[in-house]
Parts: sequence; C-alpha cells; structure tokens
Amino acid sequence: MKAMDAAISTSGLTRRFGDFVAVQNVNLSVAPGQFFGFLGPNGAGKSTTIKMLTGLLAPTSGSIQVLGMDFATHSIEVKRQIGVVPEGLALFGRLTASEYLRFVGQMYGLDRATTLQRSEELLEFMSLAGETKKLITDFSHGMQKKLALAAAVIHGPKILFLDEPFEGVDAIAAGTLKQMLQGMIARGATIFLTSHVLEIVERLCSHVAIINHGQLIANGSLEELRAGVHTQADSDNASARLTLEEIFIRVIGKEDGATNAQSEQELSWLG
Amino acid sequence: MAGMNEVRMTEIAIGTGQLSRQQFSTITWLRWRIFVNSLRSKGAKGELVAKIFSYPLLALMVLGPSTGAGLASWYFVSQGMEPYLAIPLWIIVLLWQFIGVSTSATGPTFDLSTLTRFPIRYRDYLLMRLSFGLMDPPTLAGLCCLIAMSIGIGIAAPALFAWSAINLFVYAVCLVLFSRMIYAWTERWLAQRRTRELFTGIILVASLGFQFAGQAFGRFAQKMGSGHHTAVNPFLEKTAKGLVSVNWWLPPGLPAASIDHLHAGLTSLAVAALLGLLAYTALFLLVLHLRLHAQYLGENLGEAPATARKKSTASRIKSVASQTSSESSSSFSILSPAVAANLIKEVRYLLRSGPKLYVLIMPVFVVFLFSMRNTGMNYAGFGPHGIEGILFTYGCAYTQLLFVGMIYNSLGSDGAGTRFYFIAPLRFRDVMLAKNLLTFIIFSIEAILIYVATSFLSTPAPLALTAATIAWSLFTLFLNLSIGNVRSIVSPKAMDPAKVRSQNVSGLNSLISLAVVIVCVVLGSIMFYICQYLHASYWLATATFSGLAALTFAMYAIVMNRMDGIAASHAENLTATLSKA
Repeated sequence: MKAMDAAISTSGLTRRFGDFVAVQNVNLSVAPGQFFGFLGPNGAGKSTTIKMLTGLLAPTSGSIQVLGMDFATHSIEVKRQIGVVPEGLALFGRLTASEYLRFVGQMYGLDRATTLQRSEELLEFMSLAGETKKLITDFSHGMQKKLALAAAVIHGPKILFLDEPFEGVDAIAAGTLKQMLQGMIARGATIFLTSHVLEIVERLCSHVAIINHGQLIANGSLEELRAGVHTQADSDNASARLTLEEIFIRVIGKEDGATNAQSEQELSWLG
Repeated sequence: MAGMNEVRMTEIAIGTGQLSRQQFSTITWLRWRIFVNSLRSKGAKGELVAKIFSYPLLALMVLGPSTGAGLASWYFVSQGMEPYLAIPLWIIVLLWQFIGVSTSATGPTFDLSTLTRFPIRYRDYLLMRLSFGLMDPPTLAGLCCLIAMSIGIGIAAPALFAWSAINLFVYAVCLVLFSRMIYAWTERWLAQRRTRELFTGIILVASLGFQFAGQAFGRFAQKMGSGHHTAVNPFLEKTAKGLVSVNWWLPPGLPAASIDHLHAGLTSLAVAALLGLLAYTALFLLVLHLRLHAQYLGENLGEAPATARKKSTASRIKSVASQTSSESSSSFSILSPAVAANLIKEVRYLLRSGPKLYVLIMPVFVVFLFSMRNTGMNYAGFGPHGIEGILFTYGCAYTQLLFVGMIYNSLGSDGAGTRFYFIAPLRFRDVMLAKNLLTFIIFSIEAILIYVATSFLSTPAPLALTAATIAWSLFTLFLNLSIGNVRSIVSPKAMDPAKVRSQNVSGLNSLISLAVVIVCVVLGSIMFYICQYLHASYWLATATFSGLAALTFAMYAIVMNRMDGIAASHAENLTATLSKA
C-alpha cells in the first residue's frame, strides 16, 4: 500500500533515549477503516510508538504519514483529524465532565452549540450524564476512561489512537466502549489500539502488529499471523485454531528464545 | 515436601530483632537511594545547586529564632522571671506547627504508610513513623530553639541546667509526638478532596485572622504605651487573665512552671509539673497510636465511592440550559477559540483553588493592614509622601511577589492534562498566552482594588508615583512572565491546586524567581532614591520603567514566538513529570 493511500504509515521510525533504542526502524502501514491492534510485551516500545504517532514524542529519525500528510510538517492538520486516549488519560481534574468536553471541543475548533450538543450525547452514551457537578478528580478510574474516550471522539476524528483503553474498566463500561468503537469502524474510521487484553484485541481487530525490543516482528491480518506461526502439530490437530494469545506467545517466545525447560529450571524454590 | 518447607523456614527465620534492624537500615538506604536517584533526573543538577544555596539560608533562618530563644531564656532566668519562659515555649510550639504548614516539600518524598504491606511489627512501624520525621525543617528548628533555651538557662543559673534540660527534653518529645499526632490525624481527615479544601480554607482564614489580630494587638499596645491611658475593656482583661492561668496547665506552661518551682525550692511542685508534661506526652502518644494502629491494620482512605445520583430529565434540561447561558456570557469572542477555551479553563481552575484565591485577597488585605498602622511613620525612610502615599507602590510590589509562585510553575496544576496540549491541534504559545492573560487580568484587578482601597483608607497615591508604579509593575510582570514561562516548561512540578502544604516546588525555579524579584525591587528602590536625591519628579522613574517595560515586553514576545519549539523539546519530561501527580 502506498503511503498516500494508508491511514497511518511509518518509514524507518526510530526513537533513541541516549544509548537505548526504544523503537528501531519501524515500517508500518494501516489501511483506512482498519481496526488495528498493536501488541508487544512490557517495555517493547508500544507506548513510545503511539506517542510518536500522536505527536507526544518526536522521532529521532524516520517519518510518519497520517492520512497522506507528513506529521513533522503538518502536525496541526494531522492533529485535527485524529483522536487520542493516551496513557495517563490527559484529563484536567479540576473541571467537571461537561466543562472538560466543552474545553476539548473548542480546542478542536467546534462551535459552542455543536460542542454542547455532542458533549450531552456523549455523556449520556457513557452514562456520565448524572455526574454534572462532580469534578473529574473525584471520578473512578473507569469513569475517567470513559470521559477520556468521549473527549477523544468529540470532534469526529478519522483516526482514533487508544493506549490500553480497557485497562481498569469494568465489563459494562468495556461493553459500552466496544460498542462505540465498532460503530466508528462501521462508519469508516480507523482505530489504532494497544492492549494487553488479547481476547479483546482478537475480537475487535482485523489486523495486528507485534513489536518486541523496539522492532516490528510480525504484521498482518490474524489469518496471516496464524499462518506464520503454523507448525506440523497444528496441522495434526485440525480442530484447534490458534488464538491470538497463542500466536503472541509463539512469536515473542521465538524472538526471545525462551523454552519451557528453561522456565522450569528457574525459580525452582517457588511453591 | 516437609523437608523443603523446613529449609525455606530456616532461610527466613532470622531473629525478629535482627529483622527489625534490617528493616530500619533498608528504609534508611531506600530514602538515600530516592534522594540519589532524584539527582539523575533532567534538571537535577540545577536543583542540587539550588539546595546548596538555599540550605545555608534555611540554617540562618533557624539560627535567628534559636538565638532569640536562648537570649530570652537567659534574660528571664537571670532576672528571676522564670514563669515568662512560657513565652518562648509557646512561640516554639506555634513555629513548630506553622513552619510545617508553610514549608514546601522540595525533595523527594516517601509515604511511610505504604510500609504496612511488608512483614513489619507494629512497634517498628510506630518507631519508623516517629524517627523518620525527625529530620524535617520544623523539628530541626524546634530542637535548635530548645537546645538554645537550655544553654541560656544554664548560663543564667547553672544549678537549673540539669532540671531545665530534662524538662525541655520531655517538652521536645511531647512536641514531636504532638506534631506527628496532628499530621497523622489530618492525613486521615484530608484523605478526601472536599475535606482537604475545607481545611485549606480554614488555614487561609486563620492566617488572615492572625495577621489582623497581630495588627490590632499592636495598635492596642501602642495606645497603651503612648500615655493615652484608656480604660481596658474588663472582658478583655478577664479573658487575658483566664488564658494566662490556663497556660500553666498546658504543655508550654508546664516546663516553665516546673523550672520556676525548682528555682523557688518547691521540688514537689516542680516534679508534679514535669509529671503533668509527661502525662501530656503519653496522651499524645496514645492518640497517635490509635491512628497509626488503624493504619497498620489496613484502611482505605480514598475518595468515597460515587453515589449514583439520578437526575430527572427536567432538571437535567434545566441544568444544560443554565450552563448554556452561563457559558455564552463567559465567552471571550475577541480571542482565538484556543486561547479563549484555555482562558475559561484557567478561570475555572482559579475559582476552584483556595490558595490561588488567597493570592487574590492578600494584597488588598495587606494594604488594609498597613493602613491600620497609620502612625505617620515614614516607611523605609524614603518617599516624601510617607506610608499614605506609598501604600499603592507597596501593594503592587507585594502582588508581584505573590504572583511568582503562579508564574514560575504555571503548568503545575494541569497535571496529566498537560498531555492534551500536545495531542490537540493547538500551539503551545496559545496555552501560555491564556495563562499569562489571566495573570495580567488578575494583576490589573488587584492594582485597581489596591488603588481604590488606598484612596479610601488613607490618601490616593500621587499621579506621578502611580504612573511610575504601574510602569515598574509592567516591567517586572513581563520579565517574570518571560522567564517564568520557560521555567514552567523546563522544570515543572505537579501540584494540587487545593493544597497549601507540601506542594512540590522546583528549588532552582524558586531561586531564579527570587533573584528576579530582588533585581526588580532593587532597581525600583534605586530609581526612587535617585528621584528623591535629584529632587526630580517621579515622572523620571515613569519614563525609565516605561522604557524597561517596553524592553521586557519585546523579550516576552520573542520568548512567546519560540514557545512551541521550547515545549516540543521538553514535551517528554514535561508530560511525564506532571502526569506523576
């Protein structure tokens, strides 16, 4: 896919922190309308990558194209088209939910009437409408997550970046979020998601990329990834279909060279 | 399997005493590592330099009260006025508490209550909570004062040294326990935001009240001393006598009474007073124990779970309607949407922050207090207009001083929200511009209020002096904003807008802001002296400071044009530091 056609594409994306290379030469392409899962173990470079894709962190080298625009030269235009739920949520704790949504709407250039109408709808949808007088700082973590998502979509972004959106969210709230995200995909938006909850990624995402030690080690549709880690034992057991968790473990395990025998030897004093 | 369990139990079954010692040394090491690791962060070298400069200053600040306490004790004992020892003892207890309220946490902090998750005995936990707070500034200052008192008493009456040292040692233990008790219980009460804000309000009102009472008392004392003997209000006299007699039953009065009784040869009464002090110490320990034991057993101090309030549709529509009308009235249509939205956000933050509102009230209140001292005194020895004419200048200078904290850490209260500034399609310049606009608006309102207040309470400042003061204020404000905006990005510290106590501040920022304020005040004073010396009108100062204000405005404009680049190069540190709130 050409960079111009892709919703998100990166070329040679690299980020160094002193001598440490957090992200190395990542070439990524996400097609418009895709629900894209970005996975990796802790410290693999997921958050650094998403920070660079959303303008929170400048790359050391390489380029980022979003909707055909170069992020480095068109950052304001790109930011108008994207919504972000970052790690840490980026909420202003001393505002109420409706005040915050109004603030965000105006920051994205929405007029007051549209902002008010959308914030009302979003608060109602997220079951936050009854909390008009409460400051965000007094919200539970799940409520804050829902509000952060509402703020990320209030301007109707074409691409939504979500960093661990389901972490610390109860089943009902998670259901609400999933319903909303699937609705966005149905209407043609692109979603870029990182999560450690692989069941959710498997259920929602059509394409997945896996990063480890700062390098992209797998990228494609779920079927393509399954085919990539397919073994003879899998062929013998025709009824078994590899889950994303199994794919992830195989890909990361192969990369790190860990074996079960090794694991058994370690921590032998435990239990 | 049994063998394996045996081996494992042997491995961890070190003596309880040994484990306690190990835990103490581990926590000492941990605190040291937290300090050392804090020096590895970005800007830590600057912070270290700031500490090297500020610690001797703090030591000097401790030296003053200590010398005063020592001299006062020596004087009272050598003059046979031992009961008056209660005065420095009362001052020490007040200083001990108020230094604690006003000192900021400039270093890394460690919440000792988190230790309860480790296999730690309650006795050790209690000792750790007590001992690891002994190195804080109020305790050190209080201990220095009490040591100085012992020395003062010892020099005046060597025979009293041992007894007074015992009394003052018990008093020190009593105060340590008292302050720990207060801290532990307020920590419990302030675990929730609403009570925290209420407490902040009480502290601020009390602070204003103390200043008012101090001035009122000063006036009263001056009236009494000036020979115009007016009849003392009998109620006041009765209250004062009552307070003095109650004082002998309280911790600061008991050591004074004990030392006095021993000096008078009344040993049994001296011992009884010391026992009384010991009883207070035991009581404070007991109350502290109740709190810490509950903490040790585990408790949840977080915000109460949200109560689901279901509103009727009608009331919700009503609230939306009222919100729409209030929001339309609070729009700033001449500004760009981004600046206007940020400005509205800043106004909301201001209205919900007790300490910031305090900054708004203080300058006008201080002008009011100064006007109470209408003694005809020519303040600072300059100005042909005396205190009446120069009150406006003082008020404006004081306002600038109070603004420094807001200007040099202007992103601190945004916390994790700072990330939004980098995600949203806006220029960082607009964010800072909105913050600066609010500062400018508040300053303008303050200046008008101070002018009106001084005009009503004494006499209006002369026109030339008013103009010179405004020009100086603009020069200072733009200089502070230029440097403060950069420092806010380069060295941010997360802060809770509802808290007065223990706000995280950058030592280097404090040092720089102090230097800038000193330079501005010195420049202002020199210019005013020059005007006086040359018998020139204050219009000379007005012209000079207007020129300087134009220069600092140009500097401000240059800094603002580079604001996006500065923010981008510090984005990682800025967002990471402020998200840790």
